[in-house]
Formats: sequence, C-alpha cells, structure tokens
Amino acid sequence: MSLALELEQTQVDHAGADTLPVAVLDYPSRRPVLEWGRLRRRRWWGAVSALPIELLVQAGAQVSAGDVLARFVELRRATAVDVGPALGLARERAAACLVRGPGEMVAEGDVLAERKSLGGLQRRTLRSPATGTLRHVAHDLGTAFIQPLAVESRIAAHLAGTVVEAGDGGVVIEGSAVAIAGAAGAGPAVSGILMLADHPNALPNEAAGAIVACAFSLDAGAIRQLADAGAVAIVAIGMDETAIERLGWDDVLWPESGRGRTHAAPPAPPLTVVLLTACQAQGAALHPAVWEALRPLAGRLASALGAEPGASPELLIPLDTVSEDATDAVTGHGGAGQNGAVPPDGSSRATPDEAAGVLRPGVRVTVTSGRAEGLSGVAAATSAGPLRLASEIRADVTEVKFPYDVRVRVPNLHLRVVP
Amino acid sequence: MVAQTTETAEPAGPPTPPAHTAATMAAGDDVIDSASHSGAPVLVADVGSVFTKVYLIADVEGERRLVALGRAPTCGDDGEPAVAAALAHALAQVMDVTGMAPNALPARRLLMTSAAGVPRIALVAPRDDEVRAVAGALESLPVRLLPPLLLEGPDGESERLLGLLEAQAPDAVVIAGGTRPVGADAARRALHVLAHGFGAALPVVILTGDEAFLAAASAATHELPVRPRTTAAGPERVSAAVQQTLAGLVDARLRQWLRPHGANGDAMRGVERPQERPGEWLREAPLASADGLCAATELIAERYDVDVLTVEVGAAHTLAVAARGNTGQRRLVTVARDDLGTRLGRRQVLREAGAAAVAGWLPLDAEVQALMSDARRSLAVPAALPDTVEQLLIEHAFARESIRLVLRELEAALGTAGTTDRVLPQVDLVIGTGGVLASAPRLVQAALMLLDAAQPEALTQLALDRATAMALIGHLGAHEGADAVRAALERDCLLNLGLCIAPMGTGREGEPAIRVEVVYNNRSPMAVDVAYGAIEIVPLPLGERASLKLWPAKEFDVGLGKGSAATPRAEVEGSAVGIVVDARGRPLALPDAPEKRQAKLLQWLQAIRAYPPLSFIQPHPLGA
Repeated sequence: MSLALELEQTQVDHAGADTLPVAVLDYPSRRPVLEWGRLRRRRWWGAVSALPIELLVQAGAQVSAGDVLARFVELRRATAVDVGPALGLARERAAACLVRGPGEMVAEGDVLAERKSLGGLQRRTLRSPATGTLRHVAHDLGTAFIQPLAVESRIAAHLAGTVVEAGDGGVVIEGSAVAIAGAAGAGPAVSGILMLADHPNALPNEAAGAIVACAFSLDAGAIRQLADAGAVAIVAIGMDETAIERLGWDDVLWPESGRGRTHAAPPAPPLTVVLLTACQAQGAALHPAVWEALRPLAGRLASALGAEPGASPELLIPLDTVSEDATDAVTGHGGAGQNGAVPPDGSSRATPDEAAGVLRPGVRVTVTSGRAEGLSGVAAATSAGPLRLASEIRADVTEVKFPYDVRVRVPNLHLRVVP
Repeated sequence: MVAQTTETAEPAGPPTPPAHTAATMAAGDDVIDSASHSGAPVLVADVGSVFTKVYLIADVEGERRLVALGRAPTCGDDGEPAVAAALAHALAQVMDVTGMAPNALPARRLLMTSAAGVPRIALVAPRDDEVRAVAGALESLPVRLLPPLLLEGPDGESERLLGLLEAQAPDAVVIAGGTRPVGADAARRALHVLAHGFGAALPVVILTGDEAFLAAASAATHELPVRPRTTAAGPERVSAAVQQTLAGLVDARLRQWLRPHGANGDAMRGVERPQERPGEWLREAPLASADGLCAATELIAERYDVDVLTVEVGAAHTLAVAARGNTGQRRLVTVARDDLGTRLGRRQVLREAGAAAVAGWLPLDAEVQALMSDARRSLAVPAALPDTVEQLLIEHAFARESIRLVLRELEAALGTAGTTDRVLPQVDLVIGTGGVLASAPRLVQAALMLLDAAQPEALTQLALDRATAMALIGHLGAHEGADAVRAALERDCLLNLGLCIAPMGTGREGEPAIRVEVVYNNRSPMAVDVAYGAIEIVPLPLGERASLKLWPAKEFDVGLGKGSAATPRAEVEGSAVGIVVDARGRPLALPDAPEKRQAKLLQWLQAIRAYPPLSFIQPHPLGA
C-alpha cells in the first residue's frame, strides 16, 4: 500500500464514530474483461424454466459450439376473438356462426365466422386476426382462441468442450476459448465468422453472417451499414447517445426490470449487439490488450451473446481449433492460456482459474463508472480498508496508474480486470 | 416581527420525539419482557437488488442487539445474480467484525429479500367501485397495484384484456366479482379468457367476491383445459390471500437464486468461503423485506402512539408506509413502486417526474441527455458509488423525486389528494430508510432529502434507519414481540435526526418567518430568527435536552393558527443533526430561472453545511 493510501486510511479509521462498522465492499464475483484458456459457461433457459425443457446432452458429453444443448417450445398467449360482438350477436349464439372448428389451422385473414340474415341476402363475416390453430371455442362466451404457431427455441453451446453439468439448473460446459465480456447486450446468441474493423472507414461492405467487432463507438450510420452488409452481430466499445435515442434502443439494451417476469421475449434489435462499455464516456477506448487478443482470431468462428437468458453479454471465440500461433498471440507465451494449458483438442482436465478476476496490484483494469470512466490503467495499490472519496462516501479503493503516470484512486466497485 | 399571542399548547407535532437514540431511551420506561432475553442469536440476510446484507442479532448484556453488519453486492460485476456468493461474502465480514469462528455462528438464520420485492398485482373488476373496494382491502400490503382493468368498459373486450395484462406483467391477478350478478358474470368470463389466453403462463389468480361468485368461479375452473392456479377469498380475506400467494413467490425466487450453479454466473473468484451451504438460509421460510418494513412502522406507531411515515428508497424500488390513527385503530397504508429508485429506477424517475424535476434539485447545470446517460450507467453498473460531490448530488436528486412520486400516490391512497397543498400527510414522525438515505455521508443530507421530498409542516420528528435494519426488526418484532426488539430498534436501528420546525405560510423573502427560543438544560439559552426562504439548524447535540418556544410571524403557523406562538409541552431530545428550522415555505417553491434556482439551492446547502464544497466553487483536482 502506498504511503498516501496508508495516511488516508489512518484518517478514516479515526473519523467520526457516528458511522456503522466498516464492511469490506467488493463484488462477490468478478469477471475479467478478457479471458482465455479453459473457461466454464452455463447455458440456462432463465424465466422459461417452468416449461417442459428437452435436455439433449448429458454430463461428460463433448459438444461443439453450434451444438444444441436443450430445446423447448416457447409459450405464447392465444389471440382471443369475441365472435358475438363482431357479428352483432348475443355471445351464446355466436359459436354457431363459426365456419372453422377447434383444431383447424387458420391463417390471418381467413374467414372465421359468418352470419347470414335476410335469407342469405345479407352476410357479415369475421376474419381471423392471427395465424395459428383454432384451439378452443368457448360457447358460453362466444369467444374463439387462436393459438399462434409453436416456435421451438434452442439453447446452443456456443462454447466447444465438455459438458460438466446438465440438469434443471442448466448445462455447464468447460472448454477452451477467448471471451470478451460485454457491459450491455441485446438480441439472441448468434454464431458467425469474426471480422474486425479498427476504424469506421474500415467497416466491411460485405459481412453476410459475420460478427463484426469494432474498436470504436458505433453511431447510427455504422449500425445501418453493418446491418445492410448482412452482419448477424456487432461487438463494439460503445454506442453514442444520439444513436441510442434515434434507434430507440434504450429499452432494447436496458429493458425494464419487470419484463423478466413474463414469458414475453425481450425486445430485440435487428442484429445482435454486444457493447463493451455501458455508455459513451469521454475518452473511453478499447483496452489495447483486448484488441490485440482479437486481431489474430479474425476469420474464426465466434459467438456473440447479446441478451441470452442466464448468460452475460459476451463475445466468445472457441479455441479448440486455433493454431498455436493464434493462441500465442492471445496469451503471449507459447500456447499456455490464462487458465492453464490449452491443448488444441481441448481435452485438458484443468479447471478454470478462479483467481483470474481478482483485483490485485499489477493487474490491468478498466474503469466502468465515475470520473475516470472508460479509462484503462494498471492497479498500483489497493487499500486495506475503506477510504473517503471526494463525495465523502467511504469505499475500498485501488490506486490506478494511468498513462503519463497519472494516479487516481478508484472505488473497487468501479473496476474491471483485464488480465 | 413575531407572534402577537402566546399560548402554552401542544402543536401538531409530537411533544416528545419518539425516534429516540440510545441516550433517549437508556432509562427505559417499560419493563422488557424477560422472555426476549432468552432469544437465540440469529443471522438475518436481506438480499437486495444491488446489495446483500447479513446482520447478526445477539444478546448483549441482557438485551437483543444488532451486533454486526456485513454487505456485498448481490450480483457479480457481470450483472448476473451471485446470491450464494454474496451471502458468503457478507457473512465473512460479519465474522471479521465479531471475530467469530464458522462453528460459532448462530444456527438460526432468516432470509429476506427486497430484490424484485415489490410484487405487481393486476386488478380485474367489473367497475371502478369494485376496484376501489379491493384496493382498499389491499392498502396495507407493500404491493404495486397496477392500473385496474375494468370489464364493463373497453377492457372487457377479450383480446384487449389479454394484451393489457400481458403488458402489465403481473405477479398475481386479482379478479373481483363484486356483488352484482352482471358483474360476477363478467368476472367469471374474464377468468375464462385469461385461462384460455395465457394457458400455463397465467400468473396466480386470486378470486374475490361474494360466496355465489366464488362458488361459480371456482366450479368453472374445473372445466378449463389448463386449470389456473387460483385462490378464492372473500373480501375480508383477500389481503391474506394475496400475502400468502406472494410469500410463495418470494420463496420460489430465493430458492432459484440459491440453486447451486457451479458456473460463471455464481463464481466466487478470490473470495474466502466461510460457509458454502446456502441451503442453511432456507431452513425457515424466506420473507419479503417490505413486509418487515410495514410491520416495523406499525410497531413504532403503536409503541409510541404517534402517526408515522416511513419512506424507503432502494436501488430499484421506493416505498412509503403511513401508520395513522389511534392505538388499536391505526390505519396502515402502503404505496410501493417496483420501478422507482436511485440506481435501477432512475430511468423511470426521469420518465415520470421529468428530467427538469430532477435537475431542479441540483445546484449545477445538468443536461437532460446527461441525466439519461447517467440513468443508463446506473443500470449497467448498479453497485457503482458516487465518487464526486456532483454525482452524490445527482443521486440525492433522484432520491427526492422517487420519494415525491410515491408520496403523491400515498396521498391518493389516503384519500387526501387535492384537499391540501401539502405533499405529506400530517404525521408526527418521518423515518427514512434504504441505501441512499442510510449511506448519506453526512446525516444532514438524509434529513434534507426527507424535508425536500416530503415537506413536513409544523413540527415533525425526523429519524433515519442508519443500519437499514427496520425490515428485520419488523419481522423479528412480529414473531417475538415488540419488547424483544426494543433495544435493537432504539439503539442500533433508528437514529434521531432531529426535530423539524416548518412554519406554514408564505411571506416575503428575507423577512422574519419565525423566532425559535431554545432553553438548554446545561447552557445559556439562545434565540434564532429565521427569515422566510431560509433553512437553519439550531444545535442540540445527542444527549442534551432543551425546551422550545416558537414565535411565528403573523403570516405563519406552527400548528396553532397564524401568528400563534407555541411552546411544546415536552423537552426536545438532542439529535444527530439538531433542530432544523425550515422556513423555506410550504409547498417549497424554487425559482424558475436556473441561475436563481441554483443560487438558492447553494445558499441552503451552505447554510446547513450539507455537502463538501463543490468542485466549481473550490477546485478539486482529479486524483487529489
């Protein structure tokens, strides 16, 4: 601990007695911005777990990134059609006018019911407002219920490796990969070839089925260009405020907290988005280590997880087929991954290193909030107890060394580790 | 100019502040039930949206006290819940503070949650009067009553009903049949529509109405292809039925969170694991923190026989509980919002109150765009701390507006909306709780947030739940009796912030509004003249006592009429902040022009030294 921190610590320890006993405050778990080597990922079906899930793998199975681990039929509500009022009939007489029966398929616009009067000279028809199966007719209500077509949802592995757990709580896979953590995301998990753009002028014109990682913040023009180019996902440092507002993606990237209570699908953009910072802070930049890790992986199959149930937003690039040189480039030392050896076949039994996300002196960090938001540096010293911030709030802090030897004390809760 | 008449009378406020600190209650006027002494130590955890707290309650010199508190963020820095790890982390802190070994930890554990802790209740009823009856029956519950769906109106159309309910995303639906056959028929029809429309995804349905309706509706559920989870309850039991249903939801939610995952979602990188059996927390049925807060409010109101308003501002929810009336006939009214708060609820505050309202509390320029961006940042990094005074001011501004929004709803629920200009229903004691208030670096900040948001009139006592322990005190008190938790409540939980004297009326800026004479027990008396538009603090430290004489100017009223002087019968207790004389007027009006408004705010903040100097007043270099 630096002398400055020690002195301030002493001051705080002797500060007013009106405060509660001090508690060490840090995240119960930390996720590094960049991980590589043997990783574990859980795939879970989140709020839909009340539905029958068909589990397709067992513990011990080997899976590739595209393999489906589980599937289920999404539950969507039926469309109700009040036949009586629509035909000008009493409810109890309405069912008799239906021209389609329960169990029949109907398409939107098909005639559902018909009422003839004046000996057939006058007829009123009711057309189906939705496509689906006429599931039920409530005769006393005069209401028909059209069940939309079932949509099967699949939970894919997105990480090649071994299934270490499979059950009600989801499927846990362990495999070799590079993972770049996102701070916000939207859209389903998708796979595609990884393409890189380090400048807005370097955006590809043709990116059909690709995941495009951008070393810059997105504006509306860049998003449109990538969507037009056929990209399935964008990974970027951030998105400018104007673009968020113009595209109306505020609720898309940060949905209402109550939305998770229903089975309704979260709002999704036309392509999956993973943002590495939550906001476009002044001076925010992608940590060079992240971009350097991505560079040799261009052209490989990758997965972008936007707003996947039970998973954090991230870019995941399986390493099991990566050549030695690519692994070297990521790890910087001869094929040894951050979390131990990474054999090309991914057969290692090494368990992921739980200390990978630990905040300690010497680790590279990025600041996620506060006055230094968006900046990257190196943790120089961590306080042994809480210190008083400029706001007078007390918090455990880390002294972060930024370029030009600028040192700033940052609350630990504002830091993410870049191994 | 001061009052023309003098009376010795009791103004509207409490003669003796009831929110006492240790000094106030040390002598103790009640005999503590000896049974409470034998209470076994207990660990209580509160899983919040952002922070999880673990409290140790144990006997200290024969009294049950809050001994230690540990806290940790509920989610990892990836935003995924890591509840088991957070509990272990917070528990490790409790062990650090107490020096307890793992095998010495109390066996009894209680688990509460305030995360997603404001259940959303949809109301489906034939007519508005039937909705009002149900809402009245549920008024004491900390639930969010969603806008009612009226069947004898456009909402009665089947597809519209399904669409609206889908958008509301309720945790439970109350279908009221009313007492008219026509209404009962519409309600029974609604049940059919919901059951067929949502199928297995239909939330729990609580049917209420007269016996005929309940019998017909319950029988009808047997005919449905997917039998909905329904509970039938007469009007007098609907509250209990909702409570029971919600207890089941809390239980399911916590079990889900504490399920062992063993993957990245609940990893414990670099964290010591003092105990890794999250199942131990589930030996007793989990509880909703909000229920405990309501119970604590009622307990305090009953114990001191005062009208109490508790305001809780959390990261993702805001709650107001009013307990008013006489002993045994106290009316408990609760308003809870699951979308307003200081971290995850900022965006909704901006949408509902408007950015201008939030910015209106800031003595600095704040662009709408910057506030929106800040609200997004709070969603992405909810455990972030305000590290500058400016950020602290913004957080406190959001807290003020969150409180104002729920108090407006409380006013409507109490039936006092529109009857007066006041924001707050008249109460004797206002208690603040929740992270933003409890962790305010200066206690005067918490007092000011309560004053600005609630705008109490005449004499009102202010208290702060500094340990955010009211919910657990409420639950323990409900199970073990009020006496069992008295010491913990008075000595560890509630902190007496001070008495607020807020003369009602308007005057000319700078002209005298009130003279306050303070006769101390142990030093020379002093008199303070406070001008209209100003706020001042008269020192009365903890442990001291003083008697007061209030001389309002002729246009002002402190409870006995305009210009009438008042002398509270009882002495005033010393408090953490002091006696706050708030002569800023009611309702509090701020200048429209930004420069003038900001200058006014700065003047108030500096008068009571509420915040450290702002960076634009005194340069505060980065990293200094």
